[in-house]
Amino acid sequence: MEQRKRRTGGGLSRWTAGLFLFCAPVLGAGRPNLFIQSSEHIEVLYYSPSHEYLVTHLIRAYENALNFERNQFHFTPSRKVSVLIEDFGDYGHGAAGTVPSNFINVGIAPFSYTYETLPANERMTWIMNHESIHVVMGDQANSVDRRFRSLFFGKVAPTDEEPVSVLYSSLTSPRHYATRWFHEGIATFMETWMSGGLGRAMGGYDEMVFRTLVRDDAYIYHVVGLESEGTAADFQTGANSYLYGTRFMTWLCYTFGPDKLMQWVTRTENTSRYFGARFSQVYGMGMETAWEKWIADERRFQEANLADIRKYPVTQPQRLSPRALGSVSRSYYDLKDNVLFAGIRYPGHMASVAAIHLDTGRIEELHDIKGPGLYYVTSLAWDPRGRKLYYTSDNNDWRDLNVYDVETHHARRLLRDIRTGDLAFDARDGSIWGVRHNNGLSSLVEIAPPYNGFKTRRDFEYGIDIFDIDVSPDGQYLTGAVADVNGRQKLVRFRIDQLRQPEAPLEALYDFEYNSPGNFVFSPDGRYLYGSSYYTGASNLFRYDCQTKRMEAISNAETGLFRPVPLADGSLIAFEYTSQGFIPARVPSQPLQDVSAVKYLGQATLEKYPELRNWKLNPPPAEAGSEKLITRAGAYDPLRNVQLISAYPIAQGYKNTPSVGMRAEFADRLRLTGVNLDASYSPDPSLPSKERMHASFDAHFWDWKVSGYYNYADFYDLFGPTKVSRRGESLKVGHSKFLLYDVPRTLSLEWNVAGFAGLDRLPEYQNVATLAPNLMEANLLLRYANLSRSQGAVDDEKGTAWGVYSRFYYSRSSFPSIWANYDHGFLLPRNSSFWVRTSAGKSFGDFTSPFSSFYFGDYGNNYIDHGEISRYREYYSFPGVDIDAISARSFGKILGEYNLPPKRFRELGATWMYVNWARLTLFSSGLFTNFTSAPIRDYFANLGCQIDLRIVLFTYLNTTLSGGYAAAADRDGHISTQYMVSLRIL
Amino acid sequence: MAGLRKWRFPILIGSGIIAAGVLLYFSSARVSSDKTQGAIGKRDVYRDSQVSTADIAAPGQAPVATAAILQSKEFKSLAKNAAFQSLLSDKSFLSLRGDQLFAELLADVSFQQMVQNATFMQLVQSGALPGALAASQQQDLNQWLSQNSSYQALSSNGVFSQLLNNQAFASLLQNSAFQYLISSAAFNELVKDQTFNQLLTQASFQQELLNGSMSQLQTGMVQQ
Repeated sequence: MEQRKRRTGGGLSRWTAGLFLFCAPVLGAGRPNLFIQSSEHIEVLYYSPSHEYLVTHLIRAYENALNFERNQFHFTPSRKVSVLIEDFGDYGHGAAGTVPSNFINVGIAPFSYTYETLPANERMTWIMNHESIHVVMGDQANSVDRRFRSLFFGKVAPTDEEPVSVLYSSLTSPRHYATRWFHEGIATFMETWMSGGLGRAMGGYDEMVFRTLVRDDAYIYHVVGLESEGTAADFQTGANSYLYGTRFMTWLCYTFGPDKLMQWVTRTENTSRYFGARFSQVYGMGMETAWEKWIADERRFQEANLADIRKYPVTQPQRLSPRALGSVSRSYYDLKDNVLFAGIRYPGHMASVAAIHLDTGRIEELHDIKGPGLYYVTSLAWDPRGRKLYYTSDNNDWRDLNVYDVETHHARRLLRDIRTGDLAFDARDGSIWGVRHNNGLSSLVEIAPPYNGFKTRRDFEYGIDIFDIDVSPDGQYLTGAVADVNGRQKLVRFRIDQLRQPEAPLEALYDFEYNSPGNFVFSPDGRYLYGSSYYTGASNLFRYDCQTKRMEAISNAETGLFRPVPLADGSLIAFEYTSQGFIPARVPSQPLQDVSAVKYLGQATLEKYPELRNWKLNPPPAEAGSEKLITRAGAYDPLRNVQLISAYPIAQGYKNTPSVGMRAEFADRLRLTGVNLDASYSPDPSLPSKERMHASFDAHFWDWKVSGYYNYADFYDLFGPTKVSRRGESLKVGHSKFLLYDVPRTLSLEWNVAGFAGLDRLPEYQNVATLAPNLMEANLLLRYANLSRSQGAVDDEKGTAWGVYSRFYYSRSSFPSIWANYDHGFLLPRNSSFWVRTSAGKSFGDFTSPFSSFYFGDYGNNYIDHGEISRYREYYSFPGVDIDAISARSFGKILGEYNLPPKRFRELGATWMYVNWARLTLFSSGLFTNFTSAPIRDYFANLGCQIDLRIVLFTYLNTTLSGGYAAAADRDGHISTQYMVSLRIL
Repeated sequence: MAGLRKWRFPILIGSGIIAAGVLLYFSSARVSSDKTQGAIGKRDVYRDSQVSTADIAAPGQAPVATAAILQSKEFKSLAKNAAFQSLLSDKSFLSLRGDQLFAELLADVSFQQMVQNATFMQLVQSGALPGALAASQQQDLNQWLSQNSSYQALSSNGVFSQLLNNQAFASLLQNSAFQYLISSAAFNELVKDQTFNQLLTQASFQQELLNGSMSQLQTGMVQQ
């Protein structure tokens, strides 16, 4: 039996779906007013007047970047670029898409500078430089591409509703279909030179990652394995796309020159459509071959760097943990238990606040961290007297402040959405200091006991960011790193008593120029500040003597040392970077005289090709007058800005016959409003003439949806036994709303009302004939989910989900029904999990009517499908028996499911098609039917398995080949078996 | 011999200068080396950042959004509301406009919801809440509420509990201007107005109400 939802806005592309989810907190408070300002090539949309101060700057930054890209890539945008300014997260970010329209998302919060993974120069310009390159790469077209765009009225977005759209999409946007490392690599490479060297192609962290891989003789991912495993199972996850992509681009430029690199990435006449084929055209070798050459050269380059470092005695960390901890937060030493407290995040485990036992190396995971940060995990502060750890959750959204009691092991949230991190505990009065990000600005805040509110102590102007703060043991001083718009950074100090007065002065302790003063913290006696810096090229430990005001190097690290923890006895613990993440270690704390500098591949490339200096974008002269760029300013109404996105031919199935037709998609720039129209015709003469024409539409306006059809047809009805096509007409209105949106915790309420006419089969059950052609249906759904997964997972691994559903049919008389489900999962080692899924329901009304029954049977997957791959989890599924084979007026069901650890494939396929992972699931369920009526009471049991093979096509299109086998038995011992094969597209 | 004696001093001086030069060269090379020889080597990386932020406006300025709000149909409707006109000229409101806590409270969803709750408004206006909050912890307050038949319903109200944790609310309750405002007829009438409540959920309206020029608001109202 199949219960696929029809047309639920699945046509939205991934970025718009993400945008809508990002909008959820705002939407919860009602529809926000939206504003727009545009220039000739860009339109900036924003929902808060508090963000308006950045608009003209963003516009100018984009226009400036576009001027450069016109010359460099011969690029002309197909349409204006739409930019959404938002402040939904506490750290700045950007994203770009070009299908179906050019779009950039700008999170305006200050960046996270942890481990100097990002440069600290002015971020709106930096984001625009980076994201505009994404737009160039995806949107650039030659005359053939432009012809297809004209034919289909625009760039086609792939949608699972009409898989043929994938073909059209590749014809209209061929260069969009490149690996993520390609897109991020070229954007990061270009961003570096456009910003005058301040970018990750010249970054200390990037250099360290590859030096460490060579030092550890670790596996360096190949071109396919990077996508299939490196961006999922490695502790750096998606950041590997940036790291590897940038490195490969830099190596190509160093080895073959910038001109060839530009030839490869630029789409002009007579160039291959596919980025991999174009690579072979330009470089005369396959990408895999070039990648192997790069790895060989990288090893040589880094061996030379390591030899330079080893010219002087190398710091030998004495490791305190037998395994790497992935990413780590700032940590604290507890003398009482001889443990180190830190937030940790590594594959196969939930991110947690953990205690690392220094005597045994045991890692005790104390409490899960909801919403961990990729590199900094959480902001952590320690109250040694109260024995409490204060930590942030929702680190990728608006942060909450939480407390964990080390003695009682109890955790609770203190302040929700406080938007504050970089915590430091003032032992003198128990207050917590932090850095708050709001509306793109940083401020220092104080959270005094009992921690139910905060006071802003110092606001910083735009572009001045403060991070990695600490409070001196005597509570007299607060220190931190301060970055300015040019990317220069200083270690600074405030007097805390002055911070509590207006206009507290700031004292610069040490100018680190373009290096980040990383995590400088006071020694227990308050005399020294210990921290790290890439001053020498590798991240080494430094200490600042507050008495002599001298900065001294205290390590000569091969890879990198970070986050020092000075102990009372004068010894030092720090975190050593390894290819598996960070490892706590004891390190010497004596000053060194000699430390070698490390060479950067980016610098070597610049020295070989000085013309890269000419790629720097100078800001336009002041007399250019940014305000003159603005061509439109005012309110933005999504409804009035709906436009045709694309239109293209489609094929569908109606019952057992094929049909052909057209699909048109309309939407506004932010996809808040849109409508999709499908129309097709079945030429099969065996069909009654009035059933040959098919039409359907689905429209959405914010969280409202309206859909309807006439003789509904569906692409997937062309394949397999499951049919969702229906005769007759229907009109449906629905609304959905989040009652709770605190990801991953969500509670949503959804209702819809639909009318059907001319039906011959039940809307939800294809094998059940209706007694009357007309039907009214109303549904009310309440759903809760709190599901999470660890790094490297392919599915949810832990948590709870439940739902309560009610349906009301009316056809001559009424037929209400209600059912509910409750699922709970447990994380097991190596990304495996065990789930218990339960459901129960009861229907009412005339029991002789087909409307008053639930129907069960089958896996639910079609041969070619676009629904959930694990459909055996649904309440109506019962593998081992046929579709709708079991009917019941009441039911109870329990399913046990064991998901084995997934197997990831490093080198199976090519960039255009590769196998990502395979997973085997074993399940067994019991179904009890009609338990309210003894004479017809019955029960069934089954045992089955499903194997899923994830295949990625054209780098973006996730496809899953599934196979399953199940056996079911009834109460009399009759056994039936069933197999399932399904290919899920997109 | 005499010739050599003649050149003796120039040779000695010259040799001294050369020796000093050689010494200076090697010593300074060692001190200032940015590469690998001795001392703390400094990484050699190209950094030539040139950024202009002259076109970044002062945070808080939003002339485009202001104009758009004043032209919105919601504002046009609200502008005709006598209570709203009265609020704009209310002395207590004028004194609160520049208060950051008041801004935070207006933006707080739990406050927006609770001002529509008659029992809550009655409690705040009675003056009992500020006193009770100042004197007790939240658990005691809930006990007090549950024993008071008029306000019993609030003790189990989750939104109310959330609002009690709001520091801005707690501070403002001690503020006489806020107490006066929340008791004023204009405010009480406005919180029942659907348009005002709808606009109050909008960051743009909150900002305009608090930070926008009063003359702009009033001009906007005149234009309606």
